[in-house]
Amino acid sequence: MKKSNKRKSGAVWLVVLILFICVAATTMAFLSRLDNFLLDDSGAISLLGDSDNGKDKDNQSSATQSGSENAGSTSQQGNKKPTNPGFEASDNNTVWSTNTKVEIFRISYENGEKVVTVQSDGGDKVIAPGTENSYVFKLKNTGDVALDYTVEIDAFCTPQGTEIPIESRVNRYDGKWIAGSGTEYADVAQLDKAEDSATLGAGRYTYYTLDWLWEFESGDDERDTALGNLATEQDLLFTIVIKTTATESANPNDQSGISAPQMGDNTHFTLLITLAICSFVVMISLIIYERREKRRENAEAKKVEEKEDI
Amino acid sequence: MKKNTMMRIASVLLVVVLLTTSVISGTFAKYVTSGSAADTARVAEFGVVISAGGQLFGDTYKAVGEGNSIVAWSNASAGTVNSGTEDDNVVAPGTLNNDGLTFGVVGAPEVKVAVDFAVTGSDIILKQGTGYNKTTTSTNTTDTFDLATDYNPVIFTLSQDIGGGYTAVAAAGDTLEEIAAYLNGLDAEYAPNTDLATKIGSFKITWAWAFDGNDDADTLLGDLAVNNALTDTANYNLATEFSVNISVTQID
Repeated sequence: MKKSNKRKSGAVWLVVLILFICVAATTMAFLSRLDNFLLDDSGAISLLGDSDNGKDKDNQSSATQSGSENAGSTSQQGNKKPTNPGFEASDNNTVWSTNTKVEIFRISYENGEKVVTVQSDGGDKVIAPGTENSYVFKLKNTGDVALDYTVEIDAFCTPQGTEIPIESRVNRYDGKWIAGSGTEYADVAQLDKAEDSATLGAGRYTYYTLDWLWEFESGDDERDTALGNLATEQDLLFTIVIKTTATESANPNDQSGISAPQMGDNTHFTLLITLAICSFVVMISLIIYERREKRRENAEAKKVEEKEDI
Repeated sequence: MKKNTMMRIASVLLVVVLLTTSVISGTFAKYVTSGSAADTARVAEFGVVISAGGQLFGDTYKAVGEGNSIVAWSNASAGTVNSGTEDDNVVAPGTLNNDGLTFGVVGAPEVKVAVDFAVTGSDIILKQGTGYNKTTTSTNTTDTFDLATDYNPVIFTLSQDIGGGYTAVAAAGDTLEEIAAYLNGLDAEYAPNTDLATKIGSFKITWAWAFDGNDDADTLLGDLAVNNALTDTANYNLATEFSVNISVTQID
């Protein structure tokens, strides 16, 4: 009787061990999936060719395809029910949340000979005549349904009424200018309230490039000098805010945007989590069962001993 | 038995909670999503101040023992040396200026800058030569003197203060021409956030014409100022001038 109980207990522990390994394996798989959120794959080349699970062969190398070209190719996804919308705005360093601090401006600037020509004294970001920078941000549809998104830009100087001669332009990946143009920069007033709206297909992304500059030879050295001198007495600030909003599109199968490269790992995220949860529940149940069995056996053994004593 | 029932309920609840969590999280993901990013920069400080003060020469001088060497012109007979006309600056043996002319650059701009000096200076001089008449009106050919070297009666001193007070700059020489050349050689570029007060700071030029110098040369120069009568005018200069122009420009 004791031998049989021992064998039974050993078997249970073996199952528990196997389940524990399963939990560990699925947890690791889950964690490995997090890489997709940490690494920027915008520059990667698709290993599988088509990024839409082979549904849209025409989009195989559509890194520069515009939304209108893709808008009609939706028939293959007609049966797929949109269930999980997701949207992500980011740059090369940061995934945006709310008022995320990004690097549109810099603490120091170099000239063509890599000599520092402007350097903030206190670690603040600064602008000065001759400074310029480009900022690229990416909007990605991480869900399985098309999204309508809007990009809005606010640009303003503080204190109000200060006129800082910053010029800028904003370009979408497909060549559309939402502020300025290829040959002309927009002033602060034009950059302020610049906006763009478009649709982003499931798994697709788009990106925008914001260029700004303060011309070195603007033709008004006195104004530039006056601003630089006034800056020693009070902070003259220039702020750019980029706001993005996304909602489910009326056409959930729209394929606008750049197709994201496929990295070869098609494991179902949800399945992995479900497996982990199931394994965990079974493991806990077995532990409870095993303890109850032990307790029952101990009670029986006690009864037998008591009987023998009598 | 009671415990087993509780355990069963707890297990069932655990499973239900786990399942509903995934359902609820899925539901939340369907709302509108938004993100925003912002960045602010301030205008880089320039704040370079170029200053100049004092005066190099005057129209009226008091004796050294009476305090300030240059005094305000009040009338044609005031002081120990007086030009006779207001704002017509003069120098003469025994005059000096210890307060001097000051000029300098301060500021620590957050941009790279180039500092340029445009300085000119000319001195009163009686050049090296022989047979100078002791006075321009002298007819006695033996009443002459020789100069083995150029005679610069007014000796200038350039001092610099880059923190800790003015210190004489020996390398600058003692004529305005030499000082101008020295200052013009200070053109330089400075990296952002360089404290220009510690690199350039403030300069001061002072001068003195010794009362007991070369009396013959001094007298001849004084006479020349009246008659201007030496045949070879290349041998002397009776006017001394100094001008300084400093510019600090941002460079890219």
